[in-house]
Amino acid sequence: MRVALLLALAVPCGGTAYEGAAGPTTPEIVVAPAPSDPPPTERMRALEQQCRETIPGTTFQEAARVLSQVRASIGRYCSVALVGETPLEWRVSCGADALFESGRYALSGDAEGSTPVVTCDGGRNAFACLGRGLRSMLPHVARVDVAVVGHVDQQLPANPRLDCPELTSGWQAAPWSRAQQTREAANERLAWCRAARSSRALAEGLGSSVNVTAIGNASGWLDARLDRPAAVAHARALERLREGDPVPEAAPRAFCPTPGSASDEPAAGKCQSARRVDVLVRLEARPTGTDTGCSRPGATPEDVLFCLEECAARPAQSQSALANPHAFFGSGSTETRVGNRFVTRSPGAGAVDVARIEERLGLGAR
Amino acid sequence: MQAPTTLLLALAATFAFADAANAQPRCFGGTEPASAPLTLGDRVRLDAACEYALGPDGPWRRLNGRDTVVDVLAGLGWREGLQATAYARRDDAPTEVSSVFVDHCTDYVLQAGGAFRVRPGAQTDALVVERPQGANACGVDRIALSFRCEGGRAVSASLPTGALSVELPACAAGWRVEAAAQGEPTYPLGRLAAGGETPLQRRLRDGGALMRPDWEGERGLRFTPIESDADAWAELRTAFAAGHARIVRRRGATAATACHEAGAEEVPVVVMGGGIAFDEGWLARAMRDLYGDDGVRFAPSLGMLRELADELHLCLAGTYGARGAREGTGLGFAQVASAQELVTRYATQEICVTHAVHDVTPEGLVAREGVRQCATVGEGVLFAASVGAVLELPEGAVACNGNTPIEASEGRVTLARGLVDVRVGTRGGCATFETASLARVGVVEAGRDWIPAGLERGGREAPESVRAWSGVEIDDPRTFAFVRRRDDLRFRMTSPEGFASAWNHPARGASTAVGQHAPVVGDEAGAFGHARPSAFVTRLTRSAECPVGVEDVKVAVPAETIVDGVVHAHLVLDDGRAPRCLAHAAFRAHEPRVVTTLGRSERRQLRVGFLGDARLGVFFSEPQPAAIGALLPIFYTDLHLKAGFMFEVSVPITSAIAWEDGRASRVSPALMVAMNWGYPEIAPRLFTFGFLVHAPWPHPDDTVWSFFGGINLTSLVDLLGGR
Repeated sequence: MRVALLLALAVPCGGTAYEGAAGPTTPEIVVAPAPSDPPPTERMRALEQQCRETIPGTTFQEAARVLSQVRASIGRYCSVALVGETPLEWRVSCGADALFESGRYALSGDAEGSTPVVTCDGGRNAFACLGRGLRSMLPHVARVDVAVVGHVDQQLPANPRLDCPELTSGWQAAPWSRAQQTREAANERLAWCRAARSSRALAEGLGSSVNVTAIGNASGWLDARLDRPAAVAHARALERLREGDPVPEAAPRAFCPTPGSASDEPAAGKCQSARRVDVLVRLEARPTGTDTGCSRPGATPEDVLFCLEECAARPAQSQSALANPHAFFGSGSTETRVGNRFVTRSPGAGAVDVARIEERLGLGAR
Repeated sequence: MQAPTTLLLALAATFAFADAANAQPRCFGGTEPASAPLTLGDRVRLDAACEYALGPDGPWRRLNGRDTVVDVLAGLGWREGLQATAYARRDDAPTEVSSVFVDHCTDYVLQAGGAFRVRPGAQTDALVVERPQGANACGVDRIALSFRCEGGRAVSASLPTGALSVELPACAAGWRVEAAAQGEPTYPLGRLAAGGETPLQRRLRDGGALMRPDWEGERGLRFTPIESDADAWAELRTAFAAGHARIVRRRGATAATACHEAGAEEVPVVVMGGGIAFDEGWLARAMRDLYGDDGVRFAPSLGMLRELADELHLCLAGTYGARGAREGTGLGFAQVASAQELVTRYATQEICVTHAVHDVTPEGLVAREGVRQCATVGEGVLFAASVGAVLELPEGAVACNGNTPIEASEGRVTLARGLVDVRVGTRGGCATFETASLARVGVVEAGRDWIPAGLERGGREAPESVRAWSGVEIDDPRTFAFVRRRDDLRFRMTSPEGFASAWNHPARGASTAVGQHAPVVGDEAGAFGHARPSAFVTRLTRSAECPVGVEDVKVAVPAETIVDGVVHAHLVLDDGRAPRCLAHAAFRAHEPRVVTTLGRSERRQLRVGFLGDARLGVFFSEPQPAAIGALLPIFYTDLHLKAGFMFEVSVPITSAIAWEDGRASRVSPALMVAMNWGYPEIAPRLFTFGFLVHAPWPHPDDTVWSFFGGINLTSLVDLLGGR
């Protein structure tokens, strides 16, 4: 009985403590080593090559030398200037009065026995001399592009049939198929004929086929600068004046753009400055590697970075950063009539960007 | 007339221009109208009968006392930018215009291939200008050069006529160069500068970001190059390979300090074609540093990545060796890598959890739907939830438990126990550190993590879902039993790995702490110091209702609980925002000597025990004697019925004093069948009415049976507040 009582007392006290439960784990993220990609040493080499392939300084030197020669040769009749700072793009502007007979497109000196105004070795006119100068640049450049723009004033030629059939062939397309027999149309054709004659003379001087475009701009340049109708109206009002009539004040008058001459009659649309031929010359130089390569051989990342820095660290002179001028062939129009302009291009030449040509020549409307 | 220039003589040999070109033009010393190039120092002779101008149309003016082309130009008011040409006309032939101009070769004398040579000097960014001995092209033998450093430094240098070289020190803005022949005004030659920079050096000098965060890498987060910087990027990759670029970590330091002083930690990176990634091992170490060993169970948070980026600096060598010594460049990685974009994309995204609340019962967990809780990613979200809660994932995010993805259905995840890490979804999935944690959810399971540690265990095994409660005595299928004076309602808490590390991290600034305890707390008001209270606490109440947010909840004190009284325990989480109940369990108070409970019905329980409650009462039988006495059950079994009734069969020892003669009566073991009643919540089984069979000893009138009516002394003492 006593033992039973003790057992009875002991049984309820026999509990156990909580041992601790291990729950499901949150697994660790296992580190997966990832190697770096090989460094782009070839790309660095290409960048270095690109850095070294610039237009050689000698090309600029040569262009500057030729430019001076050309200016010395034709500078009396033509202004020759750089477009921007690069000697690879020239703007040549030649007054027509000295180079062409009035109302004609033949260059002085064209006629048998006539005396040329400008001569140079192998050239009998300013454009041929320009071509001769450019010829010496041919070994230094990849290509030469030439745009010739003819301008006339508002004086209309006497002959409404003025045409230049011997100049309309040899282009990708003739400028016109059937000439309109009016004096206005003849004036437009005169501008193109002078441009075409000039470009032919230039090509003869060059002695090599280059991309050429001839553009007849008619009197477009002058039209944008001469308020002729107002001047004409004013002149007529003056003619109608009788004695005692009040003289109109602050009368509008037309002024020819500079350079003017004593023969200018702005009220009649006769301005020397508008009678000229502009030439835009673009020389496209060939980038080449410089004469010095990297001074450190090897192709490790350290080596290629050294070489890239060595090239980049070459001293820079303001003119040496010049690049090729923007092209004016390749985009634009392939039509022979762009606005009032006749546009022709030599065989093989791309589309003509007339707007860029006018922008580079400073012909835009004022 | 001046002699023809050297250049023109050279030209004459190869390029026979008209005669006029080889002589000085009219008005400049010659007789014929012409145009001629002149180098600096070439002499001209002005004519008093001529007018001069800068343009072919004037304005014309007289000019005297000038004898070189630059001098003439200066006299006409020429300035840089105008064509360097002077025009002239004679009074008697105004239409015949002559001109002289500065030979175009002059503008290129400093260029490669020009008359002068320019090369890098010995010092960094220094230049040496040399006049080759005997050179006279373009008249350079007559030219003196002067150099003026542009910008802030008033530094100048010169190369006088006859000198062969000059070294120009470093001049960041470049040198303005002018040329002059002796006695001539100066003629501008343009600008001369030390060499250029590589694509990367130039790009970094220009400032701005070079990379941006991108989550589409093979393993996840990387910093991809900005498209327009392909060359700079390729150079940076090569620089890393060459040891010229590195990333260091130093908190609170400027990039320059971190890059140039010792002590900064080198940060290993993986440099790929598509971007730069942190080395995973380094990220894992950074996580361990922050969170301890559990840090490798979750990804770095957006905030951590942003802070990390602020501590990193991209260091680049000043030179790759071609420039001589140059101080390196240090840049803040956060700026270079657009690190702010790490957080801008996700910071405002919202993450929501619909919580679950559980009743912990001897039969298992019973779930109920709880409240919905939302927060934005930018707040550094860390939820605590119970299993069964539903997590709504933001777009583009994935849920992971460590390195294991958790399947989502329509953007919703039903949570199981663990530390759920909501991460930016990347190609690396859950297996990589190269991502960012948007939110973390510590999911506890009350049946496993809420442990009634103060209860002795001897009962049967519990189901798996309440494994931590296994062995706890059971009262009925929904109620555990606790034995007064033996068991203690103390609770401990376990939590999934990493949860406590994440919760307690100082950067979170949590107002509570996760530990191993879920202490029983009351509603005591007052300030209790600066240590953070436990995030998990246990509240004991007399009702099953969650006490959070409910006023007038009666707090239960287990030691005062009367036999058969029920105590409700609530597991409450305080996350510093809104405390809420996660789980609930009910306990019924048992007598200490209850051996077992049978039946397991909520309505009826049959208990078996030793040494039951003593009763004091009256024994009576027919006809005599009646007696006053006591009985103490040695062994008992009772069946709890409704309405406070309890049927009892027990083996008590009885002892009484006869009413009439005062002699001892009914002193013997007995077998009793009784019905007890009492008000359940106040004085259960206070009254006992029973029938006993016992030995008829020692009173001569004792019979073998008796009726008994009495009071349960234990209940009476409880009623009187005695225990």
